[in-house]
Amino acid sequence: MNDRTFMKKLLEERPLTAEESLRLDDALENQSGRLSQAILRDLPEDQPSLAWRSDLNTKLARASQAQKKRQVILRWLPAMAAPVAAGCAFLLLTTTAPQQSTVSPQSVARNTESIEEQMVDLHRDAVAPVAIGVQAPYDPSYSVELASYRSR
Amino acid sequence: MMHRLALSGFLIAVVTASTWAQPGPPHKEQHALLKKVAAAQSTYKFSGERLVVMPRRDGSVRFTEKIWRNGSQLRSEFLGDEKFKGQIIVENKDRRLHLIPSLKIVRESAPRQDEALNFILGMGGQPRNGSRRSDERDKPKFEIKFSESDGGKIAGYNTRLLQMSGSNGRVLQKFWIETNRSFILKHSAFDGNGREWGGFEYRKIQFNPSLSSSLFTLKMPQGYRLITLLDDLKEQAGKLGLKAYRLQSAQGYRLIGVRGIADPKTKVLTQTYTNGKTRLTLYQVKGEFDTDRFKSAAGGRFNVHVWSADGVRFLIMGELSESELKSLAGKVKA
Repeated sequence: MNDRTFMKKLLEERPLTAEESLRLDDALENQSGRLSQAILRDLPEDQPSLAWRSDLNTKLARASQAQKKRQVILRWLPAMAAPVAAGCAFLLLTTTAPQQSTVSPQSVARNTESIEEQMVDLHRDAVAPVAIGVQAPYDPSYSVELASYRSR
Repeated sequence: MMHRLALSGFLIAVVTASTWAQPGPPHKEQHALLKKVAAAQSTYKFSGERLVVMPRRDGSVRFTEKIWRNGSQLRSEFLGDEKFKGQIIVENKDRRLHLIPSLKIVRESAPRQDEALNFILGMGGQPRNGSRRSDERDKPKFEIKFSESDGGKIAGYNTRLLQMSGSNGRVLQKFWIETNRSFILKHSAFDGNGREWGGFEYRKIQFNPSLSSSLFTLKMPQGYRLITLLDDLKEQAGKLGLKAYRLQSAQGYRLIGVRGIADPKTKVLTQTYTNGKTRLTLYQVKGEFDTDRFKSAAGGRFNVHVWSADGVRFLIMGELSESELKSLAGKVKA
């Protein structure tokens, strides 16, 4: 059996004869690479569609323009180092600082509820843990609750 | 095994999705497995960790609860959700201590261990709404059906799955029970549309471990204050400009929770009571308040009795009948 037929049989996952199995084991042990090369060679070649190629070209063009812009900036950067650094620091602090909000989604929901609705929620929340058989931790998400403990 | 407080969750969800049903007195047609679970509670000794999903009006909240239990002694610690992290509950047959880091207090109250047992014993027939008379409580208004099957493994233990359905065939509750110890390892509660709305599942559990007695004591951290619920009630009332009215030892009801809530126009003092079988909330309201909006929010699932005294609006809400609530209202005094 020639290589091409053998490869085809492997790719189609058809049962191998004893001889073919030995051949495969030998090739794998030797790690000559010839078998994998043959398999790769015989794989059908994917032809990217023209639309995909066009889209890739557009992206490459944009990236190229961006690279040119960066090169211009880099050329001028030494002269503008101080003001640029200050600006970057300002942007960094104002845009990437972690949000310190302690408002949970549930607190937001409670914020939009009327006091009457929150009163009913309190009763429901008192009954719910019993209904499912658990201890209820204290839930601080009632946003309008008096901070009476903290004021002591 | 389920500790008594955990067992308090086994209510028959006999009404629609958004109803938190409460159990009634013992019912004859209890399933044998549940009877065994109820009987086994006082013998539980274990340490475990479970994932809890608790319903809220605006969704649900999830957290992990670590539990240690030795008979009537219990310790719970909460992990996961930042709101609950660091809270510890320690309970024995005499009292309950709840450490709340965000408030820097340890709140002392009555234990709630009887609730679990009563809820289990009461399963087997609940009224469709809260309007039931005392003489009707022993009579289920609709049939509960049980079915049993192999529940597979939960936390490494084989279980029996006990499914509770209403007469319309809709599943209300599911329990995965380790039958050697009569312990509920997983519980799911379903709404009237068949959606799961809450429950818990043990991820790890060890039965009969060695448990130090120090686990069931609570050291007061520095800077924390020990406060009883009654003290809490008086302080909150004072801050809100209200008198500390409360339900005075009526029919075994005891105070288990106090909260003050307010917006710019209204101040509300809420108190939650339990008699081991049902929970009520007493509200004192000063300022603008819309009774119709309140009743609409309650959605007809709870009964409410409203009255005024001392220039303040009072409401008492629960699943008792309106006449029973009215009777209790007469026992609310400063």
